[in-house]
Amino acid sequence: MSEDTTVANSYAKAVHDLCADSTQAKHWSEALAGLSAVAQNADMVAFLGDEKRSRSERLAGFVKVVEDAVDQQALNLVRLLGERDRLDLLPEVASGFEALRADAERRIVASVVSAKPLTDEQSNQIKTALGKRLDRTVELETTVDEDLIGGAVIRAGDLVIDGSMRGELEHLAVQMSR
Amino acid sequence: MINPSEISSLIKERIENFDAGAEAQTVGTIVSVGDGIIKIHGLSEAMLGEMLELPGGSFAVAMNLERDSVGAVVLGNYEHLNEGDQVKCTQRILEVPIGKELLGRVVNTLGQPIDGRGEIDTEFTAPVEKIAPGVIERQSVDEPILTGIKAIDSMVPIGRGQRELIIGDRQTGKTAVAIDTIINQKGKGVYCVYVAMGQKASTVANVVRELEKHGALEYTIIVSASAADPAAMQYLAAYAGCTMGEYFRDRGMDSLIVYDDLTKQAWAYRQISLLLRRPPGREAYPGDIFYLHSRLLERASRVNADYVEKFTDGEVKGKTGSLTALPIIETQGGDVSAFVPTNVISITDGQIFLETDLFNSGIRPAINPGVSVSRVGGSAQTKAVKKLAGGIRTDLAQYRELAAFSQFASDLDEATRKQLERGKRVTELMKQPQYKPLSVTEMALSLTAANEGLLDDVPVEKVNDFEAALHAYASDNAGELAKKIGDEGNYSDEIAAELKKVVEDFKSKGVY
Repeated sequence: MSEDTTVANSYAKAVHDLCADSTQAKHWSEALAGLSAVAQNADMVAFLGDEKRSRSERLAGFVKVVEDAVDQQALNLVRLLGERDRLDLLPEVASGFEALRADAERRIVASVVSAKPLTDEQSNQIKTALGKRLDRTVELETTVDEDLIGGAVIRAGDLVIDGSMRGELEHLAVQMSR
Repeated sequence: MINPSEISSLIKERIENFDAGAEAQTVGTIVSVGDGIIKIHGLSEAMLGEMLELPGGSFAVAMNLERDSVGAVVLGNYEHLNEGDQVKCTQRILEVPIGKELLGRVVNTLGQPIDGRGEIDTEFTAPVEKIAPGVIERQSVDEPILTGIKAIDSMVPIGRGQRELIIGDRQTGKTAVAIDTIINQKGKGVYCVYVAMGQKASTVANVVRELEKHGALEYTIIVSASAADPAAMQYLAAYAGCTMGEYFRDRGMDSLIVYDDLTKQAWAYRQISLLLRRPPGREAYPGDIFYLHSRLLERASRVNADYVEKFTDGEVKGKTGSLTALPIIETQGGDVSAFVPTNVISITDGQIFLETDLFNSGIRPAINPGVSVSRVGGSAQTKAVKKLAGGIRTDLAQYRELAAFSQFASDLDEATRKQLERGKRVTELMKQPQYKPLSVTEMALSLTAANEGLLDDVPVEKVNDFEAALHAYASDNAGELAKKIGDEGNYSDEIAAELKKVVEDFKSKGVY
């Protein structure tokens, strides 16, 4: 998994370097989202994983599906990946690209898992506080998990702020067992 | 018995002091677990050598920082870890407790007690990996560390702050030399650290028992990472022990550390390196195997008074500190030209060679005086022993040469025969039982007997009895002389004459 990410990130960075402005980035973002959706399609996964077909056959098949939907540059990326038998990396490339794009536009997507649904006021508070801390515009993805008992866990990239009851109890358990 | 109310009060106290605040942490996800190595995705802010917190309260050390992942070695069990578990940064480099509280205790690589004698409450901790003192901070080695072993103190003297390698095959008495040295530090103000790496737990238990029996445990710290411990613990034990020894050095005290043994430590490190997919080199060791040992042994040093004063903020003035290292290397079939032995020979300031042949022919300690050297110890040797031991080395060297030669010739001239007889007796004299380190005076008496030719008419098989009786006689009748010589090993013509007189008086009584 980590090797794949490392490889995918090089493609994502290359694509990101191609984007001169945010319109282009948005355009690419849509293209990559589309491509990764195709690559993740069950039929397509089976087709790409078919060892009986040659690499070029598989690439041609993939190109045929997507060639009307995307522009020449995106198609070039597909061809490049196909030649190197890396078409299955497209979803990773897309997510890597999104991360780079968000970073460049100083945005960040934070996920908040809370024990109870958040009120609008609470989400706004979290948004402002996080934005201040990370110096980014924050988009929140909220989910509810009752197992947390109380509080919430906020995750933004590698940063995790665990303010949940469950986390505290686990922490306490570790402390007590020492 | 434990009082139940004590337990609940302890729990209450812990709960009250429990810091329940939500803290921001950098986390990553375990991608793979295997052979004590975990690969973690994310964790973008991890530092090299940082402690990583794993679920269940165990720790790992970050060793490989890659673009999107971190390779880490788990300190302890890893069976409870799963793919997808969260790993947290602690922003702390691996540290161990240090201080005098550790003396007399057996601890693991992390400084946690494993002797069942309760918790160790130290004031300080220090990182296990530290940079050795620089050129300005050092002082030349000019004080001896007395091993109490005749053959070593007379022929391969060791100074405080020196690194003297003990090398030999298995079962040649390497550990015995080191343990005798520790036992001989009793009352000499030298604190000892014994680091056992990759050894049988029973061997370590024996060492602890022997040290305890000889009253040596009270000034010794035992760091044990036995063969059953994870490779990471085995390889880090040397550094942890070194950090504990440095505590004494940095505070103007003298200390001695024994690494038993660096071969197994190198094996442990090789295992980790290969599992981390670092490229293997000669004998499959990684490229930095030399640095593994050189940076460890560089930390053994003698530091000057300025360094100590600066380190202690002026609390300790005018005192130098030292950390003497006795690394042990086990060779396979006497092959000293293998990779790790040659490395460590080149790093250290000399080596004591122990040989199977000598050991089996009854010469114990089985030191080969021909190839054993001490590169800096000469200037640190006590005056008495230095003056008296001069002849011993030449006697032995000539003896070995002649002994080989005399096997062919049946009749030898008088001078050669005498030389051979002298050599036989000196060889016999250099034998010494285990756990019986000698004082400087005792050593001086033995050496005087050999030098002055007073042993020449003692039958070879009687030499050891002669020596033992001589020491017993001297302890009853020559207390004054012992005081004059002292631990410093004072020497003058007057003392020389007195030494000779004691031996002659003893001999005239003929009670051996």
